Amino acid sequence: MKNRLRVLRAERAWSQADLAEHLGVSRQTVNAIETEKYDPSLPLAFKIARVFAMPIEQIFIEESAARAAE
Amino acid sequence: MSDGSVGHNEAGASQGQRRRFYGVATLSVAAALMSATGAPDPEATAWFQSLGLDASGARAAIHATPVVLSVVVLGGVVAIGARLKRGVRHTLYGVAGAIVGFCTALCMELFAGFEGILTALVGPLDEATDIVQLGWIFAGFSIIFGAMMAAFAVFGRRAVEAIQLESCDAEALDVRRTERFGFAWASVGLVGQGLAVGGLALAIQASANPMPGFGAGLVGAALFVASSWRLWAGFDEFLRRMVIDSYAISAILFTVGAFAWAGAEAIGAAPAIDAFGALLAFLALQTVTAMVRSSAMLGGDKLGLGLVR
Repeated sequence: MKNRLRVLRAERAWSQADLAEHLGVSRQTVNAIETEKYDPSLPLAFKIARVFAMPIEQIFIEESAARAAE
Repeated sequence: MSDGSVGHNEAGASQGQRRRFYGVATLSVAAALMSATGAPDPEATAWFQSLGLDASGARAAIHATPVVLSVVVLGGVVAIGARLKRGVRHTLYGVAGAIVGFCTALCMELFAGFEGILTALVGPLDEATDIVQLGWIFAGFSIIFGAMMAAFAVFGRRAVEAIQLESCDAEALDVRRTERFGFAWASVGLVGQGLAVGGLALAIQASANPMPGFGAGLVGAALFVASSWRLWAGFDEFLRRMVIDSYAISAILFTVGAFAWAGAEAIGAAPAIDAFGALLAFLALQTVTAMVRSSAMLGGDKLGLGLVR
């Protein structure tokens, strides 16, 4: 699963620690999601969408869809 | 809010070099502390004396060897390593560590006074079997790593920076207040694990008076369980997933290993293994798996095995 977390975070000038605080998770979790080593659970994905005020599908993109877009 | 971007400018490069220097310096201090516990090997002393040193000079040279080796070998690898791929670099770190360790072991018997302290506490000790010796080594590693976690908990970012051999994302070095509690509990768990295994090793060796060792083992096991419970309660979904994965991988490896050992034992190709050996094998597997998994997931190398997704 691809995601735009790093870009969205940078747009808001947030550090990983800042975003982790907003989400109530560890900084390591934010880092693992950003580096695409970990796909968050559905509840956490919804939380991320709420924090960025965006639909989930604009933050997380399925690999095949991302490849097709490239 | 701080800026999360990381620039690759000259200041960043010199900061990276400084961090690498701190890492080598810290390991050298650790080597100096370790060598201070040792007793020089007579053959090594004689060899140094054949180079023209007197007895006290030879002794000083033996104690200085681990420190010099750490600086030269590890410092050299770190200096060259910056231009190499991560996998090659990490292999070189391992080889450098093995060379330093091997040469140090040739020169002196480490922790030479430790047996005397144990004997004073529990009476005479039996000869340590290979498994018991491995138990002592594992207990020592656990306690050293526990001390490292305690340093992270107390000194935060300064302690994390002090063991960095490589430049990395500045944010990755940050240690927040909540993370310090995690490091503190991890420290309790690792020291507890070391105490549990060391206590049982002592109970086995002190066959005439096993209760003090067994008691220490029980205290260690209680600390280990308390730490595991507390860490699990404070972990979020990703950190819990890492714990589950590392236990799953170690359980599979242990099952395969136990099957292979049982087969080898059945055909007379391997000696029987006792409960302490089985416990040690599982704890060692679990510790290594957890370290590799967390390094892969948090450090960015390719050992993720694709399990956390």
